[in-house]
Amino acid sequence: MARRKPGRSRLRMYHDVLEIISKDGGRARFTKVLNESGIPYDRFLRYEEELERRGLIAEARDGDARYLEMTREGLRFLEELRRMERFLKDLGLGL
Amino acid sequence: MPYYLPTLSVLDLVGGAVALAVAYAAYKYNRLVGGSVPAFLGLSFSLLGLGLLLQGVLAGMLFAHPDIAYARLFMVSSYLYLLLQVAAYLTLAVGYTGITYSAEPFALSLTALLGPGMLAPTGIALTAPFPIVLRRAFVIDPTFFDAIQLASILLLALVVFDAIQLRSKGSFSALVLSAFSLMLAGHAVMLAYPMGFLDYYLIGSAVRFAGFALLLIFLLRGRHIG
Repeated sequence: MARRKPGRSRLRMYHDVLEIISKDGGRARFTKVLNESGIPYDRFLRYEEELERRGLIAEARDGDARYLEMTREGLRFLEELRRMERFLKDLGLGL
Repeated sequence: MPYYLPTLSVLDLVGGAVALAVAYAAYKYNRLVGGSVPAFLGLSFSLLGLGLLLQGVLAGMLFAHPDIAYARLFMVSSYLYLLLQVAAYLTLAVGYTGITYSAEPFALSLTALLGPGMLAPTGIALTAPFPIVLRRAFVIDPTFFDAIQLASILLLALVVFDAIQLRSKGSFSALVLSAFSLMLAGHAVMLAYPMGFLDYYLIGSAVRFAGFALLLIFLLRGRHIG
């Protein structure tokens, strides 16, 4: 049996995007999040839209610069994601 | 053996409560965050917890009312419990294997492994220490019992193997791996039960209970419940 190449689930992508924004104090440049997440641009736009629709992040503009801001709901969601990740990791699983 | 039923009842009730606590934590994360992994964990531990609680309640009732009606009920519930147990481990093993490897015809290979040729019927001589009215409670088809235990051992061995493959640097991963290993060892000890070694079922239950105790430590120290 061949070991499956570990892919990133949708939850993992959410987690990674929110972590990057969180590390920048809850507000990060769009391009920084895009680059650091390593998600292809078209898919990134889809995830960004989903996160915005769920009220977890909001887009903000400062002149020409485009920012992604984490909402209070987003912070709560990220905390739950971290706890769930610990839970699954201890069980030998992952997000 | 006056201690047998109350001890079994306590071990099963507490073990069942811990299994349901794991299921609760998994469902809680599934509801808050989503994802299929907590869903399969929740389902498997719910089945296991319900089976153990059922068995624990009926063992307690049989101890309190040692009559033929409860003995029959206990016997019927034992079959149900064994089926729930194997369904729980099957869900767990399929979930773990699905995450570890690419799709494999797991159910097919399991059926082949548990074919009738593999499981020879064993004699049953375990009812002697009990009053005659209670003996009916423990008359479980030995082939069925051993088949379920063997299936449980195989499935748990797969879970342990997968957990080793997937092992992470999580703070409690060694604890969880030990818990699954103890549950596996418990079922291996229980295999001796239909051969007349009644105490082995209790010892096996106690070993499996130690596994649940480790899971409880993991849940409490990781603050996944409460």
